Amino acid sequence: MKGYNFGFLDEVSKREIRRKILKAIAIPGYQVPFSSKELPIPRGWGTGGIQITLSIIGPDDILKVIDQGCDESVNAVNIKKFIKAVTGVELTTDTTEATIIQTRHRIPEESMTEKQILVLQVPYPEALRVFEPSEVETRRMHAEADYARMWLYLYEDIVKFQEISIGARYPVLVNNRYIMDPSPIPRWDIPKLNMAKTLYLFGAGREKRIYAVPPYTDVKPLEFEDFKFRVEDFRGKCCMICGSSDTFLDELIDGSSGERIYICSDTSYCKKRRLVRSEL
Amino acid sequence: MELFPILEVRNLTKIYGKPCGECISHTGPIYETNICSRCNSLVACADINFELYPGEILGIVGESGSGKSTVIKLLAFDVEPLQGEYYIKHEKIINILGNGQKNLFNLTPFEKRQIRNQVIGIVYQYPYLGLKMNISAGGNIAENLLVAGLRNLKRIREKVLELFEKTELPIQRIDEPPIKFSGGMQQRVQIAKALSNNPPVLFLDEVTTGLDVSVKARILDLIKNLHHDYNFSIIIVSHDLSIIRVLTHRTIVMKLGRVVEAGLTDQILEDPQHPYTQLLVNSQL
Repeated sequence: MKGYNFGFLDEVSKREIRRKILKAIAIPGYQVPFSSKELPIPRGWGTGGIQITLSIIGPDDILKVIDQGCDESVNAVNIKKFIKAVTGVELTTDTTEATIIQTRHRIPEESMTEKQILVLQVPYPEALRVFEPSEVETRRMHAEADYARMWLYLYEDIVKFQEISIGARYPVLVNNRYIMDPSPIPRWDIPKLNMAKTLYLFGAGREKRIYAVPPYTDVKPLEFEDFKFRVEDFRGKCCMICGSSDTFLDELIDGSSGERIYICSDTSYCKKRRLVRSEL
Repeated sequence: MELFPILEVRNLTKIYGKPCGECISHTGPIYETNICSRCNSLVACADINFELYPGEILGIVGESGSGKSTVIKLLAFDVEPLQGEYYIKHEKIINILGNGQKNLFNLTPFEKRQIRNQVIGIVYQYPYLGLKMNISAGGNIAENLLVAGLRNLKRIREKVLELFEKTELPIQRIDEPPIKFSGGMQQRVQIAKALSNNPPVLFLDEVTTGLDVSVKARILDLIKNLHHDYNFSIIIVSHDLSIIRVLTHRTIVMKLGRVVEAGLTDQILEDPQHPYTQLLVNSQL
């Protein structure tokens, strides 16, 4: 687009964000404050992720944007349109083809490589916020690795509900040091963070924080010795479109019959599987 | 056999406000004030020296504002002193800090928290200072075990139940928050929490203030029994001389931030030397 800098943000802003990203990578799981810039999209609509993507993207990159696993939902389509307009990069829906994948609430099902970067949009970067409203206090807890209250929160949850009731945003311990909010991804995706080949970048635009999980970093969900972390249970269920039973499924109510049906949350992977099957 | 103190405090001083350098020489019982006439700083306590021997119960008495609670807050690392030295000799300290004597006031926040968790148990006057009122009583006690690194739910639960029994709390109320408990029960939860990691030193800050006489007697009974079972060292802060008489071996009398008299409890209560102690004992009778 004429009159606009490549990637919308000016070069100084992009450099600032890249520096913060480097710091975040150097201290895995640590939230680095950054000067979240104005965008033609309101805060809370993925501006953290967009700013990271715009700062690291180059003309040769191939971009994929997903929202809850879906390539065609409103948030994904509009972010794609915006980034395409200000950079002119090639777009894709294929996970293996993309060099940068920006996502909200999901990590793609297909395994990714060292050459790819996953950018996650984060609404609430502070994992300790659920029980501690003070920013001063949460920062002190992180600095001193004083995480007993997070454990106490899990203990109370188990006492009350006989299980850990956290669905998305399950707290993880990164590199045996910082407790991190993995953004609202389902528990299903948490194991994908551990020793991953791909660089994960987390951006919270409204809360002005960037954090990262570098490749091959130890990421452990918090669990008790005798009360282990579990992913969502989809036993006996499968995607009604592709028949998959080893992917994260969305539950829907069939409008006509009123029955529960399940479909893959990762739409591009679902499509790919159907193609493979029809070729066979 | 020579007996070594488990806890030693030297030259402990705390001043609220900006000290002018002559605060200590301008305040104290002689001047009948603890506010410095030059800079208006409050000398909460100054030049406090004492030691605590293994298994001993030490009482600190004095009227409101004499600085006795400040001493406990300093020793529990709740507030930072202006100056002073603080030593605890125990194998748990060696586990945390290694060999050699270290002034505990100079430690990092991380080390202080470990000591607070492993070596010191504290029961506050107001239960809301020591407990999280909206978290279950069991959870409050479990917190100390979680700080200590215990990550086995079954073991945590067993330990909490054991502490509930020891402090005579009703086990069926383990998952209720302390806000629903009576004052005496809240103090019992605090005591159970303080005992959770078997600390060798226990601080009790006005634990029975605000409780009625029968509940008070039962709490004192509990403390006495626990002391008999565990044989830890205790510092009790109180303005109530009857508690001091019933529980303590040795007593320190404080006034306006200074120690005015120290000695065996019997001796202090039966034959007080300092005019202030005499006043205190007489007003009690």
